[in-house]
Amino acid sequence: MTRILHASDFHGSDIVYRKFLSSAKIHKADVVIIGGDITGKAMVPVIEQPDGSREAYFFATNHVARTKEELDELLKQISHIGFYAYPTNRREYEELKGDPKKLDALFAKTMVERVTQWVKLAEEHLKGTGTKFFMMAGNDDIYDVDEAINSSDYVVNIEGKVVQIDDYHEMINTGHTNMTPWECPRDLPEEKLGEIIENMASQVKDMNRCVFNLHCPPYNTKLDQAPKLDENMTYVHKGGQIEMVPVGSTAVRNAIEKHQPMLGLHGHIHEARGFDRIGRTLLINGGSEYAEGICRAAIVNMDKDKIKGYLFISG
Amino acid sequence: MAEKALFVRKASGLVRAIGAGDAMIFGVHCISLSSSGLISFAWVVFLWPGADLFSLLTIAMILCLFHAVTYSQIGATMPRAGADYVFASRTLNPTLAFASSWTLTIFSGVVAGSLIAWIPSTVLSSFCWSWGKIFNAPDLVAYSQTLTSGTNVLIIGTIFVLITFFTMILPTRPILRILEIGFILGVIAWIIIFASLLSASGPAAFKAAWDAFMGAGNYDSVISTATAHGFNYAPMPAGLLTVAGLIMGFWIYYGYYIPTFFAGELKEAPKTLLIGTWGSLIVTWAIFGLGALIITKLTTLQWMSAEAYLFYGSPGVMPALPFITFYSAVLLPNAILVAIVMIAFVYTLINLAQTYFFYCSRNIFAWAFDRILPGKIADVSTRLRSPVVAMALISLLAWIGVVLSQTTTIFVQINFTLFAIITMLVPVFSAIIYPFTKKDQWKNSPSLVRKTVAGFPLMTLVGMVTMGYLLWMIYASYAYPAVGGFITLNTVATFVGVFVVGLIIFQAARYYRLKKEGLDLGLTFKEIPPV
Repeated sequence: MTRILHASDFHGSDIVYRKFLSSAKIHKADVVIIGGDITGKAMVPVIEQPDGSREAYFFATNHVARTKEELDELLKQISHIGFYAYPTNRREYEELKGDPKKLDALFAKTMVERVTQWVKLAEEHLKGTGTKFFMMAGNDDIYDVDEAINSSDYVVNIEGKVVQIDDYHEMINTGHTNMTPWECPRDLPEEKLGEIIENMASQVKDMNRCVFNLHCPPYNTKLDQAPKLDENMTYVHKGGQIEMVPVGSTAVRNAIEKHQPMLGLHGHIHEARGFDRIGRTLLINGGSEYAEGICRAAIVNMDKDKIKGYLFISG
Repeated sequence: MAEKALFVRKASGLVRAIGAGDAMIFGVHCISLSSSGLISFAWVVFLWPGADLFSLLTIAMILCLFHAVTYSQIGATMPRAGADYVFASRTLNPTLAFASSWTLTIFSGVVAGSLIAWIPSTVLSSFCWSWGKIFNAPDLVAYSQTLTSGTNVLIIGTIFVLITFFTMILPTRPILRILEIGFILGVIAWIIIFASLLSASGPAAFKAAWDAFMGAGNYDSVISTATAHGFNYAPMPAGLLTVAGLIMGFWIYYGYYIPTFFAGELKEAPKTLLIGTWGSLIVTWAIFGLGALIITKLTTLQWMSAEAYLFYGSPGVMPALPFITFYSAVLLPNAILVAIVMIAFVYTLINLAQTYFFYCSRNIFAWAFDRILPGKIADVSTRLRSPVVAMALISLLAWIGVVLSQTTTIFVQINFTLFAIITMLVPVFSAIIYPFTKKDQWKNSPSLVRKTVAGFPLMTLVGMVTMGYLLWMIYASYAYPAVGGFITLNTVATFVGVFVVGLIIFQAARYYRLKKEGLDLGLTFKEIPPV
């Protein structure tokens, strides 16, 4: 039996990543898979004030740190929610605000730095334990982060590859998704996404024992239900309730319907944690609650020819 | 720093939140403008004759505001389907949390059936009776009795269970449209009721209108006839009666916190949930409170209690119907307006059952996610995109509720309220201890959850008030015969039996998963320490 631990959508949350590493040990995972969207979405300037204190604004609240201990705590809190703390002064802050290129470069630098730290942490805690460690970027992640993952001799960057999980099971992997309203770095048209998946699927020796690790869930399942948005990126609601619509990929669905792998591992839609089936294929999305510092993941026990059991964990 | 200094890059998921007003509308639906509208003016005055209706509605609403904060905090801490179960299972104990959630869901399903049985037994029959009396149709008055027969309640109840089932397996859009229409209809019905009541110049006009339909001298004979048949007004001091009756206040508002079970995925959910639940409480309090103020300008609480006694406590002694819909109809006997109110009340009663179905299905999802129940149970139909299996199971429970409503009083709403309150002790106790047992998570939680008052966690403080409120209602249920009359040894045994079944199911599922799948369910509920 092989035990897989799968999670995705950490979005830069340091505490969630650390909990994930810890759960790999606690649950004695044979294979650890991080299914994309590893980088954060926002940077918090921690601005030095004339009185020597530091101020930071996030989650609609202004936070003040007056002592070194308070500042350390503030920086830790920011990294826990997946944001990047950037200690700075008023002058530099104004400069960054007016220079999008410089800000982009700073974002890229901090994102790569954190992924590099994470790769080192994985090596520190799991290298030599016999646990395989697979990681890939997701649609929200810029391409620069691939280099950080590739820098490790332990963590394997699985984007676009067919990898061997154990003696019996292969896995195809991509963090690309269909187009989202935000036009993220790795969003692709359905046709293009379909081509990437087909290219990998054509290399699989035994589809009956294959795992599809695709960041984007298949269209119209329990794993792809997300709030409908209008042109102003506002939730559409009816009768006091949010209108939910399927936002997954038709290319992913077509591939799963056609090839019927043993297992589909997905992420992308944080709130659509759950499981579903398309034909014989079990589909799992562990969900994400990174902003709350809660690690969500799925454990799957695989026998040679079938899924023995699966379980969601969170904490 | 006045400026909101935050750099956001182009990434998915950054959207604005749903309006709190919309969450409030859903909360109002869960409270129900129909059933709560009827019981406020009939059951409270019947069970607690002498309690001050307006004060009871107001005190219960204020205490429910605390309960709403606790449940908003629970929903904000772990924003998932079946949030109270998820929260308690991770904070206190998974077996206890499951057994509580299981018990609440089983009773919610059954009581949804009991509410559906109310459609023929109370709402339709009372409207037929009203219509017959007001528009001089004796056949309808006679038919109202036929509607309440066991066979008819079973047949009509089954039809309405099926209607609820089929509407709940529709795709989201039509369901939402159905609820939207219900909200509009409900508001229109209450506008008609208020306009009718306000059309009377005072008590004399009400008395004259009443006697015109019920027979000369009927109004004056209500109190004396009821008293002659055992009615005892104000057996205890009004203040004590009012606080003893708070459980009924809780039942009237029951449901305002239901959006916390599925609105968790919202951005800024804590704020939205709190404003939504508080808003729905305040809006319904305003409607029912206004109704109480207006009706007591037209008649006395003693008369209303006596009328309710003649209907519930001593049926058959003389014609009686203690519903505000009837009081308004005698004052403004317009066929169209009476028909609109009747349709609105039946429609919104179905809406109420729909919210119970919705809420039970979310709990079933949560158990299936945790692998306590088979995944099949949470299957969503690809064609309809709705949880057909879960809804079918809840419909079966509701149908059992319809059947049992004719044979036992164990599942009457007042008992359900007590059962619901007892099951809430587990999540509410979890909320009290959460800031201490899960300190790190509490510190990282949304501001509504991690707020402190003089250094003490607000979650614990509000949780203690909520716990006090719940414990008082449990105590009052036994201490004061108005409710205690319903709570028998059988009632308690039924509750304990269902709870024990929940404990057994959890342990059996744990054993099965470990033996067959090599997975310990207990790990699902364990905190994960960071490396």
